[in-house]
Amino acid sequence: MAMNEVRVNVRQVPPLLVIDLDGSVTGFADGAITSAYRAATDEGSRDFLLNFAGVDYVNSAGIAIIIAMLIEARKANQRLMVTGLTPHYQKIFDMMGLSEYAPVFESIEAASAWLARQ
Amino acid sequence: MTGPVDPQHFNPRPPHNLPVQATELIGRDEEVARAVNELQRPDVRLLTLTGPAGTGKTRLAIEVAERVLPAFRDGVFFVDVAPLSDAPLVVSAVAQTLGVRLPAGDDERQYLDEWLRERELLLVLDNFEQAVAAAPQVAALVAGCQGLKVLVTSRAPLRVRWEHEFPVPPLELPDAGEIPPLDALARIPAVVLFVERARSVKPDFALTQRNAGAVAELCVRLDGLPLALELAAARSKVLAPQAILERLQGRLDLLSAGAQDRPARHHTLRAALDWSYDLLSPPEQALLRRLSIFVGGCSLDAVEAVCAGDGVPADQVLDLLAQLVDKSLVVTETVMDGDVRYRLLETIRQYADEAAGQHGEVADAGRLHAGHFNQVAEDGETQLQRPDSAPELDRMALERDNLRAALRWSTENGQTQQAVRIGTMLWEAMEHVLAEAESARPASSDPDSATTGTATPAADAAQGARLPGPLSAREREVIVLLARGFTNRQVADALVIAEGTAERHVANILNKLSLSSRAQAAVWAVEHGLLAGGSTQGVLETLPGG
Repeated sequence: MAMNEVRVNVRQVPPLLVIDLDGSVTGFADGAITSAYRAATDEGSRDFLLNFAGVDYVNSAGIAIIIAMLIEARKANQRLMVTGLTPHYQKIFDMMGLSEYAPVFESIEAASAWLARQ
Repeated sequence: MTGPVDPQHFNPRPPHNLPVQATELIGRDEEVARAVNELQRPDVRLLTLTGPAGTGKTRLAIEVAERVLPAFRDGVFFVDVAPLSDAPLVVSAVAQTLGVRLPAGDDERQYLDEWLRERELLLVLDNFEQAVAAAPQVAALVAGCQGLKVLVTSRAPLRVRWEHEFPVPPLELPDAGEIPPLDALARIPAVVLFVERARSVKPDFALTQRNAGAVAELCVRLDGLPLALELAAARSKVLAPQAILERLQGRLDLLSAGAQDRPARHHTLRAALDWSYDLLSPPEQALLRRLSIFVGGCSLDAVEAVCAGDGVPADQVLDLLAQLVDKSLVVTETVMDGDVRYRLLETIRQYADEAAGQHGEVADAGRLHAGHFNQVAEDGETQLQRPDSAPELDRMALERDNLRAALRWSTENGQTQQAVRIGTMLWEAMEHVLAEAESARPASSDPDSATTGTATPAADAAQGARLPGPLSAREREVIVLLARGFTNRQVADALVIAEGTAERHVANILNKLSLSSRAQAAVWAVEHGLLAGGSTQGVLETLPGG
């Protein structure tokens, strides 16, 4: 994988659809992330967990992709959750108020447990 | 601080960020002295000034904090909690005010705890009733940090361990049934405040035998609540005390005849606010209502953009704003570069927000507010392409509460483009805030520093952007990408800027650093620690043709 790319892997961890991100979330990542999300949507998935565990860099263009996806998910009555953020990026998520719309979890298990309680 | 203040023993000017007060604190000598004494006691580590809205808790806290400043070696820091709707943001706001960069997650409070442990400072947390859920975190900080004291203002006590409550009474009142001689009346705190504030709008105002009864009665009817007295006195330019009293009387009677289950002072303040609001012209009323949409204050440009129109003539906004300032409904603050910002006191903001709701204006105000900050973000993008982006990022950081509110509105209303633009700018501003805090902090105090020597597999442009030096934040981001082997086209794509802009950044970088090639720039990035764990040889191998 080149330095400027993100690798996206989609897997079912019922009841979640986990989108694993690996690499850098910059403007380059738009196609890969958005296509994976839309493909999963077409297959009927409703609860998405964006897993940033493999991500070591996010810039403002990268967050733009996440915000656009977040709004698309809200419009489609889907739930978007986040895990694996580094402390630095989780801090910015909180400071921006994004975690209000995309709850941030420590792990996939924590997200699943939260979902089960909803 | 663990004992009585000895002014000769302490640094006379520890750092502080206390808001400058335009007027003298009146009638609070006793409360100031008592609160200062309380804070000097070794066993008092968390002091909460409690009282209903309009009692003057904030003003008292600032005065007390100024008095005790010399006793806190590492300073006194004021945090307005009112704009923070979420409890977790309180710890973040404290950290930002102190210039501490926090890791996120469960360790946040613990990290701040570690940072504070070696310091002697006073935190002033204002309007804490908005964030009572954060009270246990504040108590935990106090418990863990011997040199930390916290002064809180809140309508209700926090009810946590360590707390000492300090109820703030209303101002001392005259006996309305037996008016004292004029010179004695003129020394009673509530009367002093009314007369002082009346003089600020009508310089020849004086307490006389003729108006003494009305002034005393006004003070009593307004329960000695400083905010209510200020609102009433602000009308002295056009109304004599007797006339103010007559107009307020009906309002107070009406309210006190209403629900009996609420504290009397709630009625008093409500009556003063209703009365003050009703006396405004319709354009002033509309402007006041619309100002309630702003979070954390606003600039004149923002007021003109968001509040003008539909009953508020655009060419009169400044005059109307000045009228609201004169009537003590809007406060001004001078910020960086001498710019003036306008802000509603929290009590008045809540009142104005309620009035906006009754007028069905909230949705429109939200749309206009978000639209304006979308434009601010768009203009900011252009500014960030310039070599020195720090002043613009400082400006955006100042607007972070408004940007966050605009992002929330855009997200909830499905305005994708707008949300993306505002969110992008907010991200840049927050990175900048964290970077500033990082660069202000000695490397040895960073508990994370042990991990930064390990090579990371992908671009560490975020770290590069955070490091200080001759380059702007954007240029540091670009040079890290150059060192990772990105072409100009790839840099442009990664940062969502035009390729020409990327080329200009590269040219500026080479010029600033007196370098002649991208390879030299890459080596410079490694040698200056912009790439975590990168080696010169490794970087050269990634460069095109390297």
